[in-house]
Amino acid sequence: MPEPYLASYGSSPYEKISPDCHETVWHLVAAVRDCLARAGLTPSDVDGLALASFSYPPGNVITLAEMLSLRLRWCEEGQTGGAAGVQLVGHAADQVRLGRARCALVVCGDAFRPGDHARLLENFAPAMRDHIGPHGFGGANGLLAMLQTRHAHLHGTRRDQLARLCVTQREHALLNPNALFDRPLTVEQVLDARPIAEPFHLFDCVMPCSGAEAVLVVSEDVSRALARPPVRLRAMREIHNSAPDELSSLDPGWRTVGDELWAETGYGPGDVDLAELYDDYPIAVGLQLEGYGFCREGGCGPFLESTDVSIRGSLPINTGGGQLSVGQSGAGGGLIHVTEAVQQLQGEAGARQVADARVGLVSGYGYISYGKGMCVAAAVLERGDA
Amino acid sequence: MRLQLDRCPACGHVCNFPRVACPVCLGELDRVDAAGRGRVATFSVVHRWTERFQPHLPIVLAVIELEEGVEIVSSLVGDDRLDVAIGDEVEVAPDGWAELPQFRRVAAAA
Repeated sequence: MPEPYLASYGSSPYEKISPDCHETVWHLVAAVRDCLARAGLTPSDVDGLALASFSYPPGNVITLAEMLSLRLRWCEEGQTGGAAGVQLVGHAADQVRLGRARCALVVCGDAFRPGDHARLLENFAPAMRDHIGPHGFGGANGLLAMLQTRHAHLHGTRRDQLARLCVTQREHALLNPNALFDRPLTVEQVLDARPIAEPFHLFDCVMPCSGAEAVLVVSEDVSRALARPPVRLRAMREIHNSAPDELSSLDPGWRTVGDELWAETGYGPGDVDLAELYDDYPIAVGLQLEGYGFCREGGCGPFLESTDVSIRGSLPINTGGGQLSVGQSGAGGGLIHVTEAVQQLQGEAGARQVADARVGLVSGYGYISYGKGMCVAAAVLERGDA
Repeated sequence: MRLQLDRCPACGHVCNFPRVACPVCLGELDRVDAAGRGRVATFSVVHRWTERFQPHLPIVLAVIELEEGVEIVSSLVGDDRLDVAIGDEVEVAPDGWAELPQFRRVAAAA
């Protein structure tokens, strides 16, 4: 079967939410332009397209194809929120393996104007809207904060342990020209910031913004013709509503997905050179570190306290600053971890390049509904000459 | 406000939020009165949300494990709500402000 390669990546110029920021389709097209230009391709070369966006409807994957005059043999729209980016990249790779697409774009992103984001959260999933919304739940902040409360209760996890991740990701963001946060952050600033949904304070919460990400998945023959550093997508696994009706569970499926990824690829947590983990909140990253086996169950606090997770460290995490320090471009926040991983594995990350990066784990998590995030998708990426 | 739950008369399954059919056997559901008592499984203290909830901030959002064995999302009312801890015993409050049943603390965690 033709082996799939991740050949290129791109981003739109991120913008803070304001009345006059660009609209969604502008960001989606800007990310496509950046991604195709890097590969030396034009829209006529593309035969597959996948899209995830909360703010683009009634536009959809077909209207985006129309906008770009794409002739498609495969298209798909992702509906799993923060898991959609990784999931769609995996599906694009499957289509390439099957020979149904040779050059597939995955595009995820959103644009928000003031008030749009709260309105989105209030009308998101039906069960959340109808049965949680009337409580004044505080959006994703309130729901996900409950995970941290429970983790702290069970395992003694402290805010200052998790804050170290925010500080390191900010250091990475200072080396990323597309990041919206451009000042250093200290643990004290994280701890002393105003409370939003306790135990979350301001810098524990991702900032919604406008932007888009794109990744190009191609067949082996196309990859050879492009002269891009080859990056293999070794395996992707997804799981949704892993523990139906369990609201206080701290594992939405990471352990299942991780075990399968390690078994399929022959790698383990100790082989990973960079981990790009969905970071709407630092506790989400902590739980993924546990679920994928980087530390023991319940041990993410001590792990983050004692491990250098910077680009120079033993396990570089969210090397571009992640959503927490770049900004969360809606559904783009589920693909930014892939664009960063591809950039690193292609050796093009410049000042924030992880030395000799060979194997990367990317992980998405999302779609909150009745009391929990429901969707998980993760993938192992590998430099082509590994 | 009474707390009601969807219960399947055929298989006895109790749902944590209203469903169109029983998720176990796909049978039709009855809506039955719940005991209205449970324990706090986890919580957060919400300080910022949309305009119409400003009078109620800070809001204590909570997952309640009901006596019926299901977990629901609700919120706590009462002047002592900020003293909440995991394991606190709670019951449906008679004086909630929301359009859904809310809870109040009746005993601290054992």
